[in-house]
Amino acid sequence: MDATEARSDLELIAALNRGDTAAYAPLYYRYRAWVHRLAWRFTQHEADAQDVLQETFLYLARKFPGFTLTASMTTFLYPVVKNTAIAVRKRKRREPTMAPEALPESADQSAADAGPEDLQVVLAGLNSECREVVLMRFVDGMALEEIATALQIPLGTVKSRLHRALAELRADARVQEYFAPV
Amino acid sequence: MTHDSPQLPEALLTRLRSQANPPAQLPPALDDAIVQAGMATIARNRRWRLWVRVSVGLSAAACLAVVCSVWFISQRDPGFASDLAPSNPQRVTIAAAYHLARQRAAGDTSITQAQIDQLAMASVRLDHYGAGGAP
Repeated sequence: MDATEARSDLELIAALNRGDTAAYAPLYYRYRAWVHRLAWRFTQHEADAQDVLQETFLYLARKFPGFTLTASMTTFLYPVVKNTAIAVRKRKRREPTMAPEALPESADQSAADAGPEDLQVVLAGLNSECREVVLMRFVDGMALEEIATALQIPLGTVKSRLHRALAELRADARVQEYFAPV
Repeated sequence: MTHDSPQLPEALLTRLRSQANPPAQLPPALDDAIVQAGMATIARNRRWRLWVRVSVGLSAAACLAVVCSVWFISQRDPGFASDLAPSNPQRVTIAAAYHLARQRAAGDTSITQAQIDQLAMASVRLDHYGAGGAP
């Protein structure tokens, strides 16, 4: 497990590049929850999220030896998880034998089905680009620079999307109580 | 970290994060399978890369050995390297004269001694004046 692993991501990656395959486990346990949460958000389906988790870490493993991390691990992993989730969902849609209830719902659809007090409904009202930035920033804990790198957009665009999203949230009566001065 | 990043109220943040978590925990068997598969992939890639490096190294060594052998032989026999050239006209002419002589010796009466002599003379001229022929 990762609890006792003191080596940084870069040190673990260097060890893996040297052939120390045991360094893969701590790297996996460090990011598995983050990847799983992100995969679940994109797929809204547990089995698909687990598929995405497997494929993401296998993609990472195939990069070794010779992998160079130029940004943070989350910045590297985010587009991998996102694209893998899209591919998994497309693949599942093409499977004709799958029962309708097992089909993954989109984030918007699941949010629309939730109760009116559900925060997901409020988030679903946001523009998808703004919602993605809000979730990356506040749920995934990514820095603005990391978001810009992961989405391959300018930092200013990230900031403007975030400001726009927060302005919309403040204006929304369903979550206004959170913004009220104490 | 960017300092001018806007913040969400703590209560909203907590609720947002709690709703973002997947409902189910990952089964430990899946963790083990992913880790084992990843480690096996890395080990296999490493072996493959090593094999490619060894193959490339051996190929390069073989090429170097051939080049060195040719160079070494050409040092001992200066005509060797030029004789290897397929378009050496003098060697082609001599080979043609030799071929005709053998045909004639084998009983081919259509080949005259004069033709063979002409080719032999041509080879001598090439030796003196090069591929450009007589001045």
